[in-house]
Amino acid sequence: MDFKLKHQPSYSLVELTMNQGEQIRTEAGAMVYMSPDFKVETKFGSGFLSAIGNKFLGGESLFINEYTASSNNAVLGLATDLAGDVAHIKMNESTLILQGGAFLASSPGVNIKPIFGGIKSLIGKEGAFLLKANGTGDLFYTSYGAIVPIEVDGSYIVDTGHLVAFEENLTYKLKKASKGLLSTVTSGEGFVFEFSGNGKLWIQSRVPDGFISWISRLLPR
Amino acid sequence: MKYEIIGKPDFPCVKINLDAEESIVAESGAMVSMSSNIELKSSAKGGLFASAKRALLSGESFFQSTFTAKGGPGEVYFTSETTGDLEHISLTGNELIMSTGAYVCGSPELELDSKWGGFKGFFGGEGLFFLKAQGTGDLFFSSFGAIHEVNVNGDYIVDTGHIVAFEPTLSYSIEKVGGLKSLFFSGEGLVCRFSGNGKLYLQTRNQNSFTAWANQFRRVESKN
Amino acid sequence: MQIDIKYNPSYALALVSLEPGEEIKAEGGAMVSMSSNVKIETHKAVKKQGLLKSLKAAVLGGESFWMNTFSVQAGKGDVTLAPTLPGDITKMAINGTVFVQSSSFLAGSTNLDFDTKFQGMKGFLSGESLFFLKISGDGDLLLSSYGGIEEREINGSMIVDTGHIVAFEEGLEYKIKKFGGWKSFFFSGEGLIMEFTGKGKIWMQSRNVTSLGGWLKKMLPPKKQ
Repeated sequence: MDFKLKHQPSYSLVELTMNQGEQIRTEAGAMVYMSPDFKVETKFGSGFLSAIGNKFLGGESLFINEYTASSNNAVLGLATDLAGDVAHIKMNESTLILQGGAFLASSPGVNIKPIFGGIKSLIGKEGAFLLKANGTGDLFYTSYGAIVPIEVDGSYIVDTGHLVAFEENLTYKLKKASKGLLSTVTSGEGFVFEFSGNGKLWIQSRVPDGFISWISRLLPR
Repeated sequence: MKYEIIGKPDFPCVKINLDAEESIVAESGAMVSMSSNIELKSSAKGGLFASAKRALLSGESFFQSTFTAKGGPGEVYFTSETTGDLEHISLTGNELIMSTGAYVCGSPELELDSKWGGFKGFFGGEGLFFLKAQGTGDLFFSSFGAIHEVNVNGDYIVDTGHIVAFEPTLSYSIEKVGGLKSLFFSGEGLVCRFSGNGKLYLQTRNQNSFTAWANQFRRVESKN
Repeated sequence: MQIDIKYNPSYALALVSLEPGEEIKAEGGAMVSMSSNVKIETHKAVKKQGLLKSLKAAVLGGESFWMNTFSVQAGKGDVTLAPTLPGDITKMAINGTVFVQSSSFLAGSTNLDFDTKFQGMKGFLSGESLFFLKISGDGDLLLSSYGGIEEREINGSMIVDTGHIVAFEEGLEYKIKKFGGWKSFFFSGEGLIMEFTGKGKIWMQSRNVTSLGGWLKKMLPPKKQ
């Protein structure tokens, strides 16, 4: 399987060229264009994402499309819903933790499993759950906005909505942004992840909720 | 204080490096990430009344947050909510007039005042609200779309939804474009005529048009 | 007439310079700014009478029925144009006929002919109606896209999600279908697709306007009646 990342960094699209028998799993609704030589199956999350209630998903749809190429040089173009970038990572018996909504596609050797973010009150919102990707193969994940890498050495704080991915060796705690009740209520920073250790994490420079509150302020009643 | 604008051109954020005990003021919710020794304090800058007036008229959120590096240097990343660019400007005692929601963050020494935009939409709809920044320090503002700079020398006409900021050396007046038929159907609505000499910052997407377009998708509130 | 495109691919702006006597026609609302000697004339998009009803159906397309023609009599004039959604602008020289998805038309030479081609097939759940502008003649065309523009030469067949189509050349055959089987249709998230066959060019956008509408519908506060 070959891939090309196009229209980066903001309206990124990944174009896959696959040979007969090769497979890829994608989030539902990701197909932009494809040559007709594919078998497409829509699967429920269970078996792929373990069966947890819809409200835990925080944006990731429960349905996955599995594409199997029926001839060589079959072309498939994938993109996510909102503006932003796509990153590819070649997994080699490795692990990466992703924000729930960031998954775009993966080859069959990569296992995806949800892990709980940590605070029940965040259910349905950003930070509610994370995805653990591990195995060998290709993983494509998306961001809303630009992807910015950050090296953590010691400890670091990230607003939950801005987290895209991080390496497994970083430990994390979910906490409220600032000391003092007034600050918490009014500062706008709801919850943050506090990371400790040595490793890399990736943030996205925008948050979908932020865009919604910006428009909502401009809308007529 | 040092800064770096990262992630240009489309969804940039700004990385601020603060020296120990140095502060930066930001719009609530603008923080992306920060080192763990940054202390966050919310205050209604300039007093509660000034803040409220500013928020009500400008669309700016009510409370500003002050971020201070304690016990050593620290870094903070800030962003805006819009789909668009982020720019830096250094004010040295001069003023800049910015439109609704464009302010991201700035040095604590800058004065932010609300300034009534001076007009309502023709049928009571869109008006335009400005925030005036003055003093000495760094200012970061954002746009919907890319920022397009125009050096005005004479007269220049702009659709109001595309205005981000301008120097107060420019005077402005609101007009309708074309004839009456144009006013109703052209889609242009009201335009702003800038006159004089000065810099004008435009955004390449129109927040009024986009909002109107987005409005068609809203669910209708049921009357229960 | 000189047309430059800046800030592409994400917040593209078209900068048009007009010589005395030159003109350009643009979709309503496209003007960002202009020099004070530019004149605007507002008129209907299509000359035929009685098309108001079918054009009203282009709700999702969002193409306004009205257009503005910008012209300059004395001296050079500048107009800058931009679409409503973030994304790219492509300049195309056409010599023949292209079908343009209604929300993708930004501006064009005034000698181009406009007609409508209404598909009429409603999407099962999405409510999408496909509406294309048939543009013919010899002149320049400015297309906008939500996301980046992807140009593809078809020689055989290709399936494209309808919300991602910007334009295609006349001569290509197409069929509108549901994606996959019944279960796929309801759950795959793909909705309607167009299957193109033959030889010709198509232009696609890397983001889906219908999805954006669906996301906004889900997230924005409801409005009063």
